[in-house]
Formats: sequence, C-alpha cells, structure tokens
Amino acid sequence: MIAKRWLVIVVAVAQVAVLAYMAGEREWIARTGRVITLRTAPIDPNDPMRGEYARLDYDISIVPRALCRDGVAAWFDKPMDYRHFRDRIVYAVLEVGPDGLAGLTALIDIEPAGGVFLRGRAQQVLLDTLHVRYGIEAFFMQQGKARALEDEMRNERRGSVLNMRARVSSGGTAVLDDYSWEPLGIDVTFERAEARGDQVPPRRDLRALLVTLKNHGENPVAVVDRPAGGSFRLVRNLRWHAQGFPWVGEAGAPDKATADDVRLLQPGGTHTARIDLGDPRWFVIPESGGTPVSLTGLTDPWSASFRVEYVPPSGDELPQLPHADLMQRRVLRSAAFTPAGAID
Amino acid sequence: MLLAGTPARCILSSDSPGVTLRKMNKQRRWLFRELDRWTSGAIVTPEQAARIRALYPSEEPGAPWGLIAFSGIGAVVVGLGVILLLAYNWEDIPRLGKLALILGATAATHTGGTILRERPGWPGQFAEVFSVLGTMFFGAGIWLVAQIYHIDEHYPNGYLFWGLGALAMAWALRSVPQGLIAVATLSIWGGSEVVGFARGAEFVFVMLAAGILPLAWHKRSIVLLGAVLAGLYLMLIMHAGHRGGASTGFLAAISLSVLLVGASKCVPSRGDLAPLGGTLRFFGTAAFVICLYILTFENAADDLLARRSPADEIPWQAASYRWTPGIAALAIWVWIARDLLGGRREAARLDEWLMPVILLFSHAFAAAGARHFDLLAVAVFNLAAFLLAALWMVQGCREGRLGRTVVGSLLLAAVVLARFFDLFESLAVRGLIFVVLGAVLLAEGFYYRKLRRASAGEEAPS
Repeated sequence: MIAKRWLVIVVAVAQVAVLAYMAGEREWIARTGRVITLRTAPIDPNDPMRGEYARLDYDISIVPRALCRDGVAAWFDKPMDYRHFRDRIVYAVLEVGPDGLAGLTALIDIEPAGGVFLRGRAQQVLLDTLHVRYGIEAFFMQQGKARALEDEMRNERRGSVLNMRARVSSGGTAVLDDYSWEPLGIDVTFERAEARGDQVPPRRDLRALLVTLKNHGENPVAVVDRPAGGSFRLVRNLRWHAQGFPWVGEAGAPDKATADDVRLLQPGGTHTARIDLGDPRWFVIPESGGTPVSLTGLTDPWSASFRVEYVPPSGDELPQLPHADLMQRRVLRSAAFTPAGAID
Repeated sequence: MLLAGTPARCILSSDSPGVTLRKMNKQRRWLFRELDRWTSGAIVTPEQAARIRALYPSEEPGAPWGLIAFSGIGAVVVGLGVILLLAYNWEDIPRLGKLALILGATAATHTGGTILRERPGWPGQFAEVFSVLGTMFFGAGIWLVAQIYHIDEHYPNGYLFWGLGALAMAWALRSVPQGLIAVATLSIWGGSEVVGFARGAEFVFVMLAAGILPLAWHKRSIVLLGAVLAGLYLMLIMHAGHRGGASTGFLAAISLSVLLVGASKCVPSRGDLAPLGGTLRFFGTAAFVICLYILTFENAADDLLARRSPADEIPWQAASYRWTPGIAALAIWVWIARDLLGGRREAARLDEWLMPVILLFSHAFAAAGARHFDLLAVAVFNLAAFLLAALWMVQGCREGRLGRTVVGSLLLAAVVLARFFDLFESLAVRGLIFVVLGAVLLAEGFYYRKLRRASAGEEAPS
C-alpha cells in the first residue's frame, strides 16, 4: 500500500515536472536568449487545443538551393526521395544586423560551433528551394486578435512587413517574444486597357504594374524611385510550385540613385511608380528559352507567379542622397501576382 | 426443495464477480418474495423461511457505480473544458500566472486523489475521479505551455507525452479510467503521425499491447480491453495501409479479426476471465463480418485485395504488415486444430472455422494477382457470407440465442440487399428475391418459436 502510494506520488510529480521542464526551458530562453528579428507574414488558423494563432511564414522558411551547404545541398539531387531528408534537423546560420534583423547566410546539417543559428527541420524540396520549419511558425493570441492581425495586414497595413522578435538559445531553439510592423508597405495593382464602349476588357489585358509605397509609420520615411521603375525588381514567387520565368534584368544591378530620385513620405503618405509591361526591360524568358516576352504575352499566364521587390539604395549611395537618415534600407517584397491579373 | 443444498455461489460461478453479485441480488430478491408467499400459503413455516433466508446473507453494499461513472465522465469533460477555456488565451493573465494555474491544478488534483484514497469511509472511486482530473490537467498543461511559448513543433508529441503520463498513472493506480485516457491519447498520437506526417509510429503497438492490454487483463475490465482492441485495430489498419497500401491494411484487419476469435477460444469459458474472452470474440467477429461484407462487393474485393504498392514503400515493412498478422492468426488456429485432434478441446463451431478459411483464401487471392479471378473470389465471399448468416440463424434458433439469430438475419438481409442493387436489373427477379428473403425470415421466426416452446416443454416440471 505504501509502495503504491509512493508510486502514485512519483508519477504525479513526474507529470508536474514534465510541464515544469517544458515551460522552464522556454522561460529560460525567453529571459536569456539572444534577441533577433525575423521578417514574416501572418495568416490566421485555429487550433482546437491551443486556440487561435497567427500562422507565420518567414522569409527564411524557404531556402534557395544556393544557400544550402554540405549534406543539405545533396538533397536536391533526389528531391522526390523525401524519406532521406524529411524531418531531418537543419541549422539556419544567421547574420544579425545592427537593427537586430536576422538574415540567412547558410543552411547546414551539422550544428555550428558558435554564432547565431536556428534549429529547424527540413520539410520538402520544391524546385530549387528547401522548405524548413523552425517550430516558431505559430504566434498564439487571444481569440479574435489573430484575425484582427490578418485584417490589419490586408487592409490598413497592406504590404507592410511583420517582424517577429524572438529569443534564441545557444542550441538554436527560439521562443517568440513580440511582433512589430515595419513602417513602409508595398502594394501592387494593375493598369488595364481602357474599356471600349460597353465592352469589358479581358481580365488579362494588362498594361502596367502600379507599385505603391506607403508610409504606415509615425515618422517620415525616404525612398528612391529611379527612372523607369529602376528601383524595383521582378522576382519569382518562391511559394509557387511551378517553374518560374526568369526576369531579363535578374543579373543586372540597379542604376545609381540620384538626389532627384529621392521621395520623402510623410506619415500616411504614398508614392506610386509605374512599370510599363510593354517595356522590354520588364520582359521574362519563357520556360522553353528563346526570345524574352512580355508578361502579357505568356501563353499560359496562370502558370507563373511573381512579386515586385523594392531595392533600397546601397550603403555607398546613401551619403550622396538627401534624407539619408530617413531612408528605407530594407528590401520590400509585394504580394504575389500572376500575369493573368490575379493578386494574392 | 428447489434450492436447498445448492451453494448459491456455485450456480453463478462462471460469471465475473460483478455479474455474479448483480445476479445474486436479483435472485435473492425473487427468493425472498417467494418465501413470503410460501409462508403465507403455509407451504413453509416461518422458521423454515428464516433458515432459508439465513443461507443467503445480503452482500456488502457496492460502490455507487452510477455516481462514479458520471463523476469519471464529468472529470474528463471538465478537463476538456479547461483545455478549451485556456485556448481562449486571455492576454490579461501573465504567462507565469497561467503556468502557476495549470501546474497548481495538476498538483492539487493529484494530491487530492492521494489524500482521498487514504481517507477511511471514502470510496476509492472518488479518489480516482480526482486523479483522472489531474491527468486531464496534465494534458491541458502540455498544450498551454505550447500556447504560452508559441511552440509549433511536432504536435503529435503532445499526445505522446500526455499518453505516457496517463499510462504511468494507470499502472501506478491500477486504474481503468487512466488506461482509457492512455488508449485515446496514444491512438491519437499514432494516428496523427500517419495521417498528418505520413510516417509510422510502430511503438504505439508496443504501448497498447504491452502497456495497457495487461492492465485490462489484470483488472478483468472488458471496457478497457474493448478500448485497447479498438485502438489496436485502428492503428493496425492505418499503419499497414501507410506502409503497404490499402490491400495490406485490409489483409491486416481481417487477419487481426481471425486472430482475436482464435485467441478467444484459448481463454477459459468460465470464471472471471470469461468476459474478456467474450470481448475478444465480439471484436474479432464484428470486424470479420464487416471485412467479409465489404469483400462481397466486386469492386471492393478487387481494390482491397489487389496489391498496389505505395510509391515510397519499403518492402520489408510492407511485407511484415502483410504477412505477420495473418501468420499469427493461422498459427493460433492450427494450434486449436491440434488440440482438437488430440481430444484436449471441445469441437469448435463451423461458423468459427469459416473465418481462418476465408483468411487463407483472401491471402491466396491477393497473392495470386487477384484481377483474373475476381468474379470467382467475389462468388466465394458471397457464399461465405450467406453460409455464415445461415449458420448463425440456425444456431441461434437451436441454442435459444436471440442475439445470434438476429445478427445472422441482419447479415443475410444486408447481403441480399447489396446484391439487389448491384446484381439484378430485372424488377421481377428483384421482387422474387425479396419474397424469398421475407419467407426465410418468417420461417426462421416460426422455427425459433417452435424450438423455444419445445425447450420450455422439456424444462417444465412433470
């Protein structure tokens, strides 16, 4: 009887100890871990056991093949043989900027001896990217708050980047701490052909991309708008599961920004740049190769998906530009769109 | 004298203690009522009646099972409610406050259970309710910690830890409710590994079969045994299907059915183990009938038995799921047959022997490549289903088992209805089939009544 009582007590204490250990480990990281900031975008699912949360889609969750090293790089040789890499532990080696923003420098499968890194698990190889989960893809919130966050992203702060502040342990385990919005948002719309009489123009009859930069913050922000949309890049949507159409300007660098290109955006202010899709500088190379074509000239416009990226001036350019101290220094990426005229 | 000289316990000795007690109480009440009548009718004297009453002293009052059952269910529901309540995720409660709440609740309920267990005058089952609540809070705590620290790692692990906690407590307390929680959570763990992550969690079989089955046996609990068997069935079908495709999953399921029926024949038919044997037989038979009924459909037989390997199949894993349950099932029936031939066992019934035969045929059909023989196979499966139904109908009538008769009739009607839709287009033939089915069921009713009357006539005092 006494032995049984002690056995019950041991099991009960073990149950409490498991909970205490789970919480204690994370609490320790939350108090002592290195602070980093990760760029992400929220969507809002619901978990019956844990409640409502914002599902976070980090920039570092989709790793280009070029950043995969050692054993990880070999997984691209047999992408369909997922048994060899699915759920394998990987380490995202991070470079943390002065503002705390972390950027991925390499993905490896051996724990680094030092530095800042995140421990994750490989999920799948899609085309030339590896999808990775870091165990911090959910941010749990009080009921209603996660949806409000998503609504904010879709409406008032459309195109803004959500930054997640996290604490990272020396072993690469991260605990999410808080979030904040970047002040500048990027939004993209289409300029379509004029309707003739009562005729509604075809959905895909696109003329230009209108890229709008908006200051959602409380302080002025400066941006550069180089001539002919030179401050923007056309990039493939990495979450699109089909082979992309490389942009003809992919390899080139943007022209040097001048003082005339600088625009100061007051709080709530916007600036819109027009990208003429008929301009050969914005053509893409078809999958089959050959002559570059306009996005509107693709035979199957639903088979491709792109984003527009704002390219800030480089560190060398900044000293020559006015409002350098207010200048937006991070790349901004728009919502994805298809040449058929659909925007996420 | 009707009952004189017959020890009361011997009459009901083949039942479990709980069943025995219930039957005893019922019969005692009947006897005492009759004694009053006999006394008033001067058949026995009051002294004789008193002596007879003294032979059957009333048993100790049992635990309030109804109250305990509802309390147990209530504890589980309260635990689930707490999980949902915490899922609201109040921002106003600081995270350390939430942690203190759940850790404190887990510790307090387990402490309460331990104290109540040792307090005289309290039924142990009330202490059990507290412990169940404690384990539910433990599970709630796992999800709460994940919520507080935004942990979005491999979520089946949450169910695994919860299940291990419940399993440990089940053995510490020798507790059926804790065992039930363990079965549920471990099955969810194994199922979510297969469904959510396309990978097997074979350790679930070890935990269910070696971790909980012995507890069900030890406690003589048909509820826990039933839960474990349901969990094992589910896990086997999911894992076998995952490792070797639908065909492997189906063969594993039918093999387990035949194995359980065979195992039930190795359990003593009397004594407190008998109900467990009955549970094994019930699960095995029910699952076998479902499998057999599915196989009576041509497309299903073709789809479920023809082997289509998953693209990522690992051959030895698929083969082990495909063959191991079948070999085990056939081995146990060979062992039964050997005992029969050696005269160490009563003859098994024909309907039971049909099961290993069908299993053997299913494996042979699947191994032969199936498709060229599918019509033959479907005909055999239909014939087997009709034969099984007929045997149960006849056995039920002869042995006075209404349940068996009804199940046999339902199986017959189900097979006839299925063929009504997929075999015959002529309304005349369909009508005729219904007439024949109705006539058979009517004849069965008359046959059953006739045999019951004859049996009652034989038992009546001359």
